[in-house]
Amino acid sequence: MHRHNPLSRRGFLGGACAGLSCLPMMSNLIGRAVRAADEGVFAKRLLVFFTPNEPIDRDHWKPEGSGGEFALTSLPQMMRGLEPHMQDLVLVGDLDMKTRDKETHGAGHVGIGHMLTGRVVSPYGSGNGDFWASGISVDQHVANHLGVDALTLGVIPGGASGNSRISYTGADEPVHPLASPDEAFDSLFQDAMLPPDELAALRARRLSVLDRVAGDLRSLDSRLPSEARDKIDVHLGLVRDLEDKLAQDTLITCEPEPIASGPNYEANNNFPLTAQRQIDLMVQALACGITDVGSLQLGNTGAGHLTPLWPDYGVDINKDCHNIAHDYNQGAGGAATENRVALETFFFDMFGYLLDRLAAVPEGPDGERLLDNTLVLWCKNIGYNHAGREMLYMLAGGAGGALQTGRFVSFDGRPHNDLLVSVCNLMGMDDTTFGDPELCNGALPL
Amino acid sequence: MLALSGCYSGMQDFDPGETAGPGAASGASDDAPAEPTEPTAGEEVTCDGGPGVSAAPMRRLTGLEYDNTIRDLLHDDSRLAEGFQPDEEVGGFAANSVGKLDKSQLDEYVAAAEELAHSAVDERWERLVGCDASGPGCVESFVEGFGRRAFRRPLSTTEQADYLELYEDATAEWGPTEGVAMVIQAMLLSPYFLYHVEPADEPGVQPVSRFALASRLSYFAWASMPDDELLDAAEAGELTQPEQVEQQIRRLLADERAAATITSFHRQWLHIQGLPEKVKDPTLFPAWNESLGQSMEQETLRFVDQVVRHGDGTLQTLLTAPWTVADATLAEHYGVPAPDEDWAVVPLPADERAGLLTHASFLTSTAHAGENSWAHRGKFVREKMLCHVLPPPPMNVGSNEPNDPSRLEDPNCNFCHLQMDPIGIGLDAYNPIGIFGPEGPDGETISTEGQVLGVEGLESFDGAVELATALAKAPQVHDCMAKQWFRYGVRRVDTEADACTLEQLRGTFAESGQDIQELMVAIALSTAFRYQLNE
Repeated sequence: MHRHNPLSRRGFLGGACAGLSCLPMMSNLIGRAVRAADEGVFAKRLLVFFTPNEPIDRDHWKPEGSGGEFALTSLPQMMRGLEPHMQDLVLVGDLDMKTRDKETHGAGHVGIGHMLTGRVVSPYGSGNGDFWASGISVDQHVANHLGVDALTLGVIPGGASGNSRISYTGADEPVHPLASPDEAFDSLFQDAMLPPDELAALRARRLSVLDRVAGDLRSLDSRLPSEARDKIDVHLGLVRDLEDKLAQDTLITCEPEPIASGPNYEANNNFPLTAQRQIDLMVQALACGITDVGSLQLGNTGAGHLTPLWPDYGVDINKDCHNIAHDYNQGAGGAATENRVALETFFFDMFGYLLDRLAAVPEGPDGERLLDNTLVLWCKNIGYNHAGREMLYMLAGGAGGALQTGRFVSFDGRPHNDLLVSVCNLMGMDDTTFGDPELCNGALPL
Repeated sequence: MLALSGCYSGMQDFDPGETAGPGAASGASDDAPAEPTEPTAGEEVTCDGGPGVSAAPMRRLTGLEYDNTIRDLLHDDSRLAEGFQPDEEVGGFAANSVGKLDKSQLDEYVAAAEELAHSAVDERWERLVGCDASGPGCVESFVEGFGRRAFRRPLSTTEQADYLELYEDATAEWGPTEGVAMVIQAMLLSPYFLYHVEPADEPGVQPVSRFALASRLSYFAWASMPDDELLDAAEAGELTQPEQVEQQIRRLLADERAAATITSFHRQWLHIQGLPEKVKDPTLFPAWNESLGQSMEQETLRFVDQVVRHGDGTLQTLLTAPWTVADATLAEHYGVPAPDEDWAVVPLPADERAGLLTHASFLTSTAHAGENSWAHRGKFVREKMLCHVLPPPPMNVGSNEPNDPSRLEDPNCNFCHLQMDPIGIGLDAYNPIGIFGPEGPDGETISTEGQVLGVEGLESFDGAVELATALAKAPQVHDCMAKQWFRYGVRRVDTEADACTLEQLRGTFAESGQDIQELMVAIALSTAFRYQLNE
């Protein structure tokens, strides 16, 4: 996980500004992500976007058109917020989450641990969420290939359990999302705001301290049982990555727009606002070259902890998100359907907001956008009625020219692992399998 | 016997893996003999071969442990870990024992260590260092003394030299104050500080090393580091005999710091973390807000501390007290006169309230935004008070409205819902923010006739007070509480190897009249607590 092009101060102007007023708007990010070493070449980015529960059912997510593949001419009602981006999308329909057929941890939402890893989970208790994924997730796999640290952001993701985590660096190695947009901003940009001499001294001190810490980690290793040694090995690896990062003369070439503190970013009422701010932050990080890989997780698998009383955002229901999903599955029609569609419309609107922001960052001389250099994977962890069948996935963005968009394509019954292979391939990697090899047939013919 | 054992078939308590069968501890140690084993009263368990010991995975400090340790080590109560990533739970209690560290957690530790170390040298130099860094032996004795407290054991000669080298190098570049700060910083980032390190030098069942046992005791009783007296006892070899351990655990429990454990256990057991963030429909419950939620949480924590550390200390009182510790807001919530002080003991109507199950905190956290949840309330009684294990809902069932009687008919659902919902029905006179109201919106009497199927004496009850009174008397509940406290004490789920330890704990708890502190003492004295199983 060595970074090749991380933070740098060169060209950075923001240090003197204490408030929001003197800081540039997003449009000032024009061209800033150009790699100093590769003038004119824009990095290809991967971004995962996750929302809770299922996309209702096939009747609701299937766009109008006939056959297994067709050009999009309209989008389903609940996706109306995506209309401006119809030509940026590929709807990938009818995949199966075949990992569920092999799963022994009997909980309806265990698919959240399969979603990006393509493997069954590794349980550590009998409770619903007492599991971690048993392998690396595709975002981290791509980040390793690109030599960047993936940025993992969450919006009220919930406690540290399998039900609330989507990204993994390996088996039993959950990546915990940063859930507070203002604090996440600070952790990404704060050091870069220091004067150069202070920053250099800070890094030197940290390196000295970490060198001592690494010594303790190494001395501890031999006296421990293997499970503890594994923990210490991972810990030591993280310390070494951090040392490498601090030792590099790195650069940041944009003017970040701070995220305001103040609102309680953990409050249900602020969920939509928090989601937008996390999206803003992610887009900045990608535009600035802080990283080339990220994930945005809105809520968690069932989001029973979220109640969409968000009238300013078009949804106002006093049941939690999970119950809304179940009510529809139990008895479609009337209020159950209305609520269900309203909730899903809200989440697609949030996706639309993300695409708007990615499209608003120009990259290139001929009107190219950050979105054109990005592959966005829209995904959920279950299909209709909490099963792993007839699942919808979406790809968005041009993936640097690798993806032809504006289409619907059905791959009836193909495992979702195959899509994960395709994601790697679209990112320029030559993987032929991903996750559990028994459940993978290779890339989809996208 | 359970009427609906189908729900439980094959669903015994989870066994996380490596265990030693009963007898593994037999003859394990020369210098620390195993507990004398009482002949068991249990039907299935025989403990003749001596109690067993289970492997315990290495744990990172929980957020509470980190903050309390920093408070006691650096005299800094800034509680930075409240902003850390949440703890991973095992068996319902924060354990941090399975998932490995991730980058965001390392970043949190690095930032916190930097902040804490600098405020330590800037604000508390006298108290922490107490001498001029350039004076002879000053930094040497600081590294030795502070290191012993930070690592909860004396530093080795090599470590002492390594940390002094860090100090010398840092001082050459940035001066002695920064040098000391960097020593503190490095120690706060050391695995010896961040993890409960229990060296495993010899294979098989071994006594926990004396310093690791000191930490086990203090983190159990205080959720914090050992004090000097405990470290001194460990260093002097005075934690090897059960009576020495007993003397220490009783000393720790008598200290004010024990409040952290009493409140932390109950907060987690009742699962009221995050209560103030709970969502309630503002049109139905205009009284609900974050501050009311905070008051509710405070009430419960103050109440359990009052009972366990200042009252008769029994489970019965926790479960049946017709009084609580309330502020004016909660007094109004409960319909009783406001106390004279900010927080004080107030009597409650005995026909409406009885202990924790009728606390607004519990009733609010187990209800939806707009209505009660029979399943959530019943599930708590079933899983946390009776220690029954309910399997997760089947993979592909749809559910219906939160409280739907048809779930009790549908064979796909009623396996489990019959275990939960009839208990929750009995609590229906309390609304989703815990206000008592025996009548529904149209003046009809709300039925609170409930059942705890399969539990003798609880086949039928009417209302929460009857339920709580009967649960407080039920041996199954006593035994379950012994198990819950054991899990808290060792921060793992019990295994077959713990059967004899649990048997002993149940016996002690019963003999003491369900005294919580006596149970805690018995846990600290148990073989599971004082021994470890090495590979």
